[in-house]
Amino acid sequence: MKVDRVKGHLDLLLLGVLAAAPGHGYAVITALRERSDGALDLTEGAVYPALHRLESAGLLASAWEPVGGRRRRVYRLTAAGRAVLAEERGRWRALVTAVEAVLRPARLAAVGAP
Amino acid sequence: VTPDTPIETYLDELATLGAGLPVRRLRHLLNEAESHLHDAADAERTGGTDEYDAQLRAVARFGPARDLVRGEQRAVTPLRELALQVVRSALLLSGIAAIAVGVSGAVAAAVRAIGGDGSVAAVAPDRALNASDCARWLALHPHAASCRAAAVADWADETVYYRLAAGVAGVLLVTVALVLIRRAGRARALLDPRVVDTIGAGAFGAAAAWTLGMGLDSVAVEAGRGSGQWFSAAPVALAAAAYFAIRLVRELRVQPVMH
Repeated sequence: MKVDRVKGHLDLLLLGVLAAAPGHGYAVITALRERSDGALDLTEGAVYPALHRLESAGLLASAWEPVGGRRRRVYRLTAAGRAVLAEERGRWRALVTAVEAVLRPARLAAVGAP
Repeated sequence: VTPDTPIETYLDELATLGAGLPVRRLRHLLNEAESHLHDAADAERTGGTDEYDAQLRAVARFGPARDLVRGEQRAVTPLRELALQVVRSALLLSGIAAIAVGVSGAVAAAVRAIGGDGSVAAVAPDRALNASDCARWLALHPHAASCRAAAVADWADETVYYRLAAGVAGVLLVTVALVLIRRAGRARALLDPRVVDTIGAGAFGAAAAWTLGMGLDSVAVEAGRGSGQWFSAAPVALAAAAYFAIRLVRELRVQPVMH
């Protein structure tokens, strides 16, 4: 999927991945790819400015930890991050429901019907 | 000299382009990029690619260093957003503080109803009261037996009604804060809850200690005259401090780590 299409939702995706378990940048990008069956295959470096921005906003906290023989910065959700994720999840579901209702083939046929 | 690997070359470029970033942020970015690129190269190598090509692919997947630095520059906390969070948090906390003052006014009114004017206000025995003040106090409290009694009644009025007025102002402040918070999105509207709760617990804790100290002082020095003005405020401040402290303890509970 094109990076531009995902960009507006990157924060939500990162919070969603880290809600399952704390992780470092490489683990996050791998989880995004695997959980989306390869559909979300982003430019990998783009994840770091987004993680840092979310940390600055208080939605994530991070610490250096040894993982798999390397020193990595591990990110985890803060209480504020969990609250934002819950809010954004609700908004996303409402949007998806609304768009699906508009795009539903039956509705299109009805609009075109005499 | 061994030639630089593709990962080293990339990190050099990243360090050069990112020279304008805050040092700590650049250091973190370089460390994270290096770990990530080696992880990605390891993954490529397990697929049978040789070391050099694996690093090239890892670098390509990571994206141009220039894009990364631009993204990082944008990630620095926008000052405007931080300033708005400070304003909303300050409005909310001041509003809650003013409501607490209002509640202490209601408690003071109850104390006054039971113990009389002298339970929430006092005039030091050695204080001289001038004639024009006396005239004003006696005009406001015509049933008072003396100028001193009228002064105590007037100060008791102030203790109760000024505090109740502060409570009304607090309700207005909190209402404005809630509207702003709702507009901004509840979860992002305020400073980190740990900061807000620390300020709340600290400020109300200090207020509780001060009012309690003043109350005890009035018991010791003035035989308890007017001590109700302090003892009506201390429990309210203490309750508010406890509320924020409990929230803070909950916030500080660390989410368990999973790898």
